[in-house]
Amino acid sequence: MKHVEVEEHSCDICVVGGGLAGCMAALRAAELNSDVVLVDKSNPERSGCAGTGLDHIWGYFPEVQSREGVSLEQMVEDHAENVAQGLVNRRMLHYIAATSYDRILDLERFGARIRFEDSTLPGGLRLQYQMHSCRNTLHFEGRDIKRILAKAVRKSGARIIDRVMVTELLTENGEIAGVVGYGTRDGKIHRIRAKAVIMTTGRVNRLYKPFPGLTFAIRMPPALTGDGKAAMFRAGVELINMEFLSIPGRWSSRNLIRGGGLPTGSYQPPGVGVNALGEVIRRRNHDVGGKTVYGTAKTFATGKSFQGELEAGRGPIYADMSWGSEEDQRYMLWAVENEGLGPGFLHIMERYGLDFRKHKIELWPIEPEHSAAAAGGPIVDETCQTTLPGLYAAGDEAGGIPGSVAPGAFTMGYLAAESAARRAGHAGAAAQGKGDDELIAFCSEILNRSVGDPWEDAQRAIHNHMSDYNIHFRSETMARRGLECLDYLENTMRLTAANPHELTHCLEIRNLIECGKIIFRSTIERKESRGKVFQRKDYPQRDDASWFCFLGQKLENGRVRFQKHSP
Amino acid sequence: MPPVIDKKLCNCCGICYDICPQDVFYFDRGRKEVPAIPYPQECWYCGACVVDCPKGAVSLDLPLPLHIVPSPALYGPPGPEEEEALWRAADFSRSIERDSTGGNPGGGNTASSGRKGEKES
Repeated sequence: MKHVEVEEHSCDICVVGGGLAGCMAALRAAELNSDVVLVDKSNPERSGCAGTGLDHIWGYFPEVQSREGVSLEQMVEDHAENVAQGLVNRRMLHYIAATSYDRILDLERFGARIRFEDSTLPGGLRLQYQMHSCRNTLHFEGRDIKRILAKAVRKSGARIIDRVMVTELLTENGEIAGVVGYGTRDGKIHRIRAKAVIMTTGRVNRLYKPFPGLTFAIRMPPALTGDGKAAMFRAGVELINMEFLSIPGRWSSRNLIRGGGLPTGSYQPPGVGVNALGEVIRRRNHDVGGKTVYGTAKTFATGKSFQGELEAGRGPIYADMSWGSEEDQRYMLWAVENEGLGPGFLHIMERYGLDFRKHKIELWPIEPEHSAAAAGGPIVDETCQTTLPGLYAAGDEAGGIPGSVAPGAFTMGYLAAESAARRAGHAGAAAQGKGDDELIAFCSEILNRSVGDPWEDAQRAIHNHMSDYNIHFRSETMARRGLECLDYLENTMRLTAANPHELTHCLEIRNLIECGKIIFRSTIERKESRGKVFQRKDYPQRDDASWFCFLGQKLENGRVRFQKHSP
Repeated sequence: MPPVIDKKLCNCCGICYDICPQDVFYFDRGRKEVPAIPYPQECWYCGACVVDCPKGAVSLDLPLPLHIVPSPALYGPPGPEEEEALWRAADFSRSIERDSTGGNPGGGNTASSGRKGEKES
């Protein structure tokens, strides 16, 4: 009988996840408290959505926006109505918009380059239009932002525990007492007791069949498997918006790069979207019109859509980025190199003889994405606290703020750290806590099984069930069948693992199934359709009277309960 | 399948092993050997190992389903009659306003380009 070794740790504040939110949380927490631990499933040097870069971040830049006649309140309203379709935690959104620039100045202090001599805007900032109605998205040199942040975290005195996948919470008397993780390389169970915990594990990225047919060829990090959301749900934390998806997520070049260089992104002076006949479907940024067009969502549309072109028999769609001056081209390459996945994409282009001047890049809609644009996760109060006292959530982990993305990560990470430090300052010694029995049993069972199912087969089954029952024909009956199928999978699979690397994947499967079931249950409960993020065949109409709300789902004494919250 | 390590260039420092978000590298006997790549199919093609390798020893090979089949571009460099559009592009996308600079929209009169140490065209 093989046993799993358990290693004990303790600290005042434990940050789970080392992405943008987690690093910022650890940095602020370490300024306020000397006993901070950051746990990362990978390594904060290159982990998370911004692992290989981040070239843009939105915020309110008073010296530019006030000149263009846009107030902070207008920008918040623009985001709430045009990005989030009204259903948004406005108080947190306001905090994010108001403090994003402060956190950008922190990044500059840590060593990121945000000012450029050739810019004629105040402060030498490079600002672009992205998803708002005004020029509020900073273009900066963020290729190594994670290395810069990781270095700052190490300097701050916070301890980094890397290659540990947190998958359970410890609680005592209805409050947080710590977390439990599995060492992806050492194969040990790590119990980390803490007075306050900040969850920043981000999105749920491996639920739907990936467009190119390869499990790990997806737009956002495949290492993000909803570990935090699953752990919180099991511990009784209330999650909201879990039924929402971004469909179709975005258009990308076989998921090799984000956004594919289209004008709706932030880095493409020369970029235009065309159909197979060469007709322009999305115009260049500068052809869109005036500068600030506050009050209506800025649109790049020509009256046609990529999807419409495919259906009209004029596909496929391409991003053509061959136009522009040499400076425009150079600027674009600079931006691509600094955006996540960009360095790999440029390397691949060079290796395979591709050139933006000579080649257009074919685009396809990617598989649906959970969490970020759809904002599924724990409901948080104005201090980033979840429904479990002492447990906070930040960035894409938190629910209720669609499109908060990088600024959400930085600002909420900072805020959650301040809240956690206040709590840790008042609390007594960290409690012992309970909540790891199931995890240890799950691991032991797999370790003691020599013949069975490889995790890859379970992953394919999850892809099938989520894609078949939760995308095109969404309805109560389909969701019920999806639940049956995930229950069947959970009860029938006999996972095996040859080493900690494979056992980590088995634990990911457990979390993906947990998240899938939460999604199906909330899908059944919300009896309406709501924009692109939630379309039901059996309730095709939007129903604001009953459903203009966050739908909460939580586990209470072994039973699932739902609750509506006003946004 | 990605990634590929050039054994002649690799100095066995293990940075790729340390930073890979997908944990595709592996040392059998510690940092005295070229890392093994037991899980190439788990690569995310993010390029972290390519960027961070101090010896430039790592490159990415694409599996066949991810190849980008070449397709000729439609536009190319703009003609002289497009100067106005180039100005608007510089203003809109590169934060270079016409009134403040003079010169030409290609940036001939601007102080420097974005990348450090890069020469003017």
